[in-house]
Amino acid sequence: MKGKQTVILISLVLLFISYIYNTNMKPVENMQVLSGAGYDIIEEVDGHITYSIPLSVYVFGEDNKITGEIKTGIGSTIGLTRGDRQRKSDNKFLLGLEKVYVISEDYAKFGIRNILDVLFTNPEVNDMGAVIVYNGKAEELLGYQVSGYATSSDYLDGVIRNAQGYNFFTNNYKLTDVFVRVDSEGRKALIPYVEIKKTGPEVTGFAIFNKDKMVDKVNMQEGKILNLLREKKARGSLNLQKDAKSYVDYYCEARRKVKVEKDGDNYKFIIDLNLEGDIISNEEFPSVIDNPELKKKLEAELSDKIEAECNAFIQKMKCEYKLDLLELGRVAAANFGRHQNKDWDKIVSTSDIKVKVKVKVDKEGRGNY
Amino acid sequence: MKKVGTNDITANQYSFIIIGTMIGIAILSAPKDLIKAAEQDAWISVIFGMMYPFYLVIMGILLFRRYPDKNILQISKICFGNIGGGLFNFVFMLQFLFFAATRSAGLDDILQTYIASFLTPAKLIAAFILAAAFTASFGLKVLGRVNEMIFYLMLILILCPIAVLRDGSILNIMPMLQNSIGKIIVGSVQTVYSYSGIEILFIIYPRISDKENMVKASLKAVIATALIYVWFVFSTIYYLGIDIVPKYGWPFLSVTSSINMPVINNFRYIFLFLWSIVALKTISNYFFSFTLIFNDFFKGLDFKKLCYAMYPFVAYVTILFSDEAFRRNILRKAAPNFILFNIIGITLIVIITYLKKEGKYERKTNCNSN
Amino acid sequence: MQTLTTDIRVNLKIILSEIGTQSPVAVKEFIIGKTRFLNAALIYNNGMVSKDMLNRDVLNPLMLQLSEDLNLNINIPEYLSRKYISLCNTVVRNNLEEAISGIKTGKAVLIIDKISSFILIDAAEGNYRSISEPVNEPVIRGPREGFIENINTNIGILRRRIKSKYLTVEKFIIGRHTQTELALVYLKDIVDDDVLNEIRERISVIDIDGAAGIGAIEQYIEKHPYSPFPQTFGTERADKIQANLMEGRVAIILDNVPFVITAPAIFEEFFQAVEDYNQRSIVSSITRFLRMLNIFIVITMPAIYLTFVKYNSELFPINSVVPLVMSRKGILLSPFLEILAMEIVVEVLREGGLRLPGKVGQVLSVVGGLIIGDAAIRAKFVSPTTLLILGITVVATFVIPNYDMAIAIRVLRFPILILSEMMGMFGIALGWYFIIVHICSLESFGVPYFSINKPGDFKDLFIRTQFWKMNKRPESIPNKDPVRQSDFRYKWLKGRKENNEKGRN
Repeated sequence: MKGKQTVILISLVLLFISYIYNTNMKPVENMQVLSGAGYDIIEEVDGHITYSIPLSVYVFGEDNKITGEIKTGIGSTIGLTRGDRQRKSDNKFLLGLEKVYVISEDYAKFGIRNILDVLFTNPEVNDMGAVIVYNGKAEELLGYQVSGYATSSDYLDGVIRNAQGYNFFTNNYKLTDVFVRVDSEGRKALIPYVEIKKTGPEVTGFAIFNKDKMVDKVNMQEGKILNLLREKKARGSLNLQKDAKSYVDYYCEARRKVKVEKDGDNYKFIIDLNLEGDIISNEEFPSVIDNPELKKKLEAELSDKIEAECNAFIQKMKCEYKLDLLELGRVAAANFGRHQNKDWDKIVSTSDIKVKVKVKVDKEGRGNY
Repeated sequence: MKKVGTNDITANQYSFIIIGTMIGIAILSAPKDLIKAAEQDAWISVIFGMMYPFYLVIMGILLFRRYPDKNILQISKICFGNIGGGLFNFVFMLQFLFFAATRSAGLDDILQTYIASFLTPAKLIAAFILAAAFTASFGLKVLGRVNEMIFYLMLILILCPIAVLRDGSILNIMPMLQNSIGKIIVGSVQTVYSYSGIEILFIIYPRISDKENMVKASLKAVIATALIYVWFVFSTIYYLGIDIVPKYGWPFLSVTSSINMPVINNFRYIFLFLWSIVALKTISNYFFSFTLIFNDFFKGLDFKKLCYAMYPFVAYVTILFSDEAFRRNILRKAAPNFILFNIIGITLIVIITYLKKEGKYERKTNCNSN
Repeated sequence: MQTLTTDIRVNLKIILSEIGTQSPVAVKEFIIGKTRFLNAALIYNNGMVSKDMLNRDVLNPLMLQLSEDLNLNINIPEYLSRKYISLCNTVVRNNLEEAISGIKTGKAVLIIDKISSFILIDAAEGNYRSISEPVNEPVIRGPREGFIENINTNIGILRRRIKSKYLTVEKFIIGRHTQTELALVYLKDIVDDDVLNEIRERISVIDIDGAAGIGAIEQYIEKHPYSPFPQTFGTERADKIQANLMEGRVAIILDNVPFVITAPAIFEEFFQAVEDYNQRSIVSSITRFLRMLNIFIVITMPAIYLTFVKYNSELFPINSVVPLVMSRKGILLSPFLEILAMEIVVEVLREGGLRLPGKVGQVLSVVGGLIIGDAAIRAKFVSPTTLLILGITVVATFVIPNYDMAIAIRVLRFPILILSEMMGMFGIALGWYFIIVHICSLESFGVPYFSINKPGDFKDLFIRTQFWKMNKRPESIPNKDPVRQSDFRYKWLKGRKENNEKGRN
């Protein structure tokens, strides 16, 4: 009996040693914690392509001061950049905590499929990080110093996260959302477009993608309407302005419902927009809450204006972009069958799209001054 | 009736063992193969796929009616004689070894990918099989309790996709029944091996203490398993859509990764952490069945010691299977054969037992058993 | 059966030699009778009997007040104890062994010349602790009654609490040398016979020379001595024992130990406290949930922290990783050694604090907890986060009401910690799997230790529902009589309802 116990004890100790031996894992303080990743492309004259992948890492200095640093790897494939980057770094990189993935506009126009592939394959990356497109080089944006932040990625993370609630932004700009949208039938990826202005980085519109390639960008004005028409449920403010002194601001929650009808080979889409919200500033009408008729008038004016804006955007989408940015193809596919080799972009661009806007004013805050 | 210290399992535990054997690792990757064939109707094809376990359960109930106190190992000898029965039992045993090995290798794959990339397959597999041998060595009674306990744990995990339902869209599973029934059935046939494990019922049913509930418990187990499979496949499609699911190795994990949780960054790890407990239990069930049948060939061996003696052998076989390409290849070839063998062999046994209902066979078996 | 002779000299010699000549037995020889003298002797153990009582109620009447000559034809011992010995507890016996064991347990034996029987006088008096509140198990709402070191008092306490005629006490003598009394107490109409027989059998075969304590007895009779989990429930509180008896358990009381155990035990009962039954049910349910959560925290928290730091750092919430890394910069020890070292320090402090008298213990906790902790951080020996995690773990242990179970849970931290060092997150899962299998494999006297498959019991397992809903005894403990109470509450609830309806009409 005693012999048996000794054998068990010794084998346990041996087991322990054999497991912890040669695992090559380092504690978190000896790793470089990533705060963001960027994707740049360098296209040479002869068509040869080189990738430059900058990673933004934290640097923990003296006196608990944290700063950021850019570690760039260059290679002919994304995988090769890793070895190149490690050559210039004193520690291993800790993946999984990236807050943003910055894609340069050039890269986005070249096509982001290989970025998605490398991120999809690697199980360690953070699926929940935001994806943005930058109009210059990603390295530049990642290295940009925002006062009060260790790295610009922290700042951008906040910008994207808190954009939700205004301009009909949603929180669907994460990496998983891009994964899901790029290859699904009838869907389109929509990625916030960031530029550096005087005060720092800001979202100035959206990069619109056809499959994995960026085709164009829309500015914020259009982006707002695009969001309104595209998202199932989102919030933002709209207004009715006659001149500088007389206007009404309206903050609402928009819900979209799409109906699709099929007549032979022709499709007809009806987008129902239900807006429900409060007046946040009213410099035109007297208090509308006490006056039902006035309220109706305001609601009608608002819905007319929004409908007009929507129709203008749809017209532009059909003629200029020629893309199904509103994911109407998805609804049609769900209703009339998938995977039948239909080009939804073409169908949507040539179909009749009707927008019906219904505005409802709920409250007017604590009163009208 | 003696209330304490019996070695039997309750009918409920019997159900939990069946569910526990069928739901383990394969369910995480099942949506992938199903969707390739049946697209958004994959969850319907799960129901068709469940015909196989359902058929075996019916066979099990028929056998149970005939011989409530004998398991298939003894019945096969009654039907095919000692040599034929032994041969049947040997193949029957092989499939448990095969599935124990492939399931452990599958778990090894997931863990290597997601949470334990720093360990070699051999280290991980050695740990799985040790856990399985440890569990199996306590015998059926403890196995029943473990399955029961872990079932409740699994229930929590199964319900977590509810949290992401609002992020998915009903558009993803529409239009329903777009694909022909033929395509849907093809999908279910391809993944039928995910539902294997039901065979364990043939060796444990004589040990149920409340025998009157056996039929109910068997049906309950299959229906519960079917529901869980449907729910998994359905929620995966609902959340991800059919175009993206086949890209993932284990699509369901991506569903869990979108659950927002405080304190922890990614719910997927919690899910994997708890699900590996579920998977270990599945491996234990297979290991137990394998060892039990092995013990049947060499009566008189101490079961507990045999479990530990089998450990190096099973671990070695599993390490062979840890090469993914090899495993997928052999799985594609061997699994349908095992399933055919089960269907044909067990149907044959049932027919023979019912044909030789009265008369000399009965008496002969009595003599044998004496 | 050895009996006494009629010669007092011989009898004395026999008794003294049987007890052992080294024992401090006192013999008082005296004479009774008015004219015809009879030699008599009172034999007792010094320090175990009340001398006052013997002087006043035995020696005084027999020596001074007895003014007659005793007729040898009548049964003199019987006559004396009826007429002269004014003590309540006297019996006449003639079995030598009874005399011997009587003297050993603090009784006095009166032998009289020419008579072969003797009087066994119970004048036992030891200086025992009075019944007081158990220091280690205080409650806020509940009785302040705890067991003491005297088995008879303890049985008395139980008898006082349960007046049923079915309350049964079976006595055993354990230990060749100590010959300690051990009593099984149970309610005959509730307890399951299989369980009772199992316990009885295991106790009756105990063959040791000295019963050291109830802990040893516990481990002699349990099935899985290698398990860290306690398989019988021990307490000093009488109300807990009472409740356990009412659920069909058997109490085991050992003399000289204020600690009573009940068997069979199930895992969940170690997480139930007296307050649960005295507080509102919602409050107790929440506390119970907290306790269960604490099992998880105590066992896994350090291990999870270790994997987070070492293997799966991506699991940290994004915003907390930066402060964490900052706090960990430049720590001397590797994470595993750091946690292990601090765990050991904590265990040492706990063990040290346990042994030290109160005032010194306070100094230890100040020096140990505050000064060492602070210094360790300043010296970059450990990181503040590690200390925080360990602090939470230690505090969490104190929520578990049963000391044995708390220790068992604490011990489990170490294997899990080692497993997580070996295999990261999966190591913890593996550890938990082993714990689950181990708990499922345990049996306490044939009863499954971990009870989850009795839906009726959930009323009083992880939560505590209303008392009036618990009409049945828990099924986890086998019993003969499952009904605990009738649906009495509906009687008046229904009545009220009808009255109200009448009033409305």
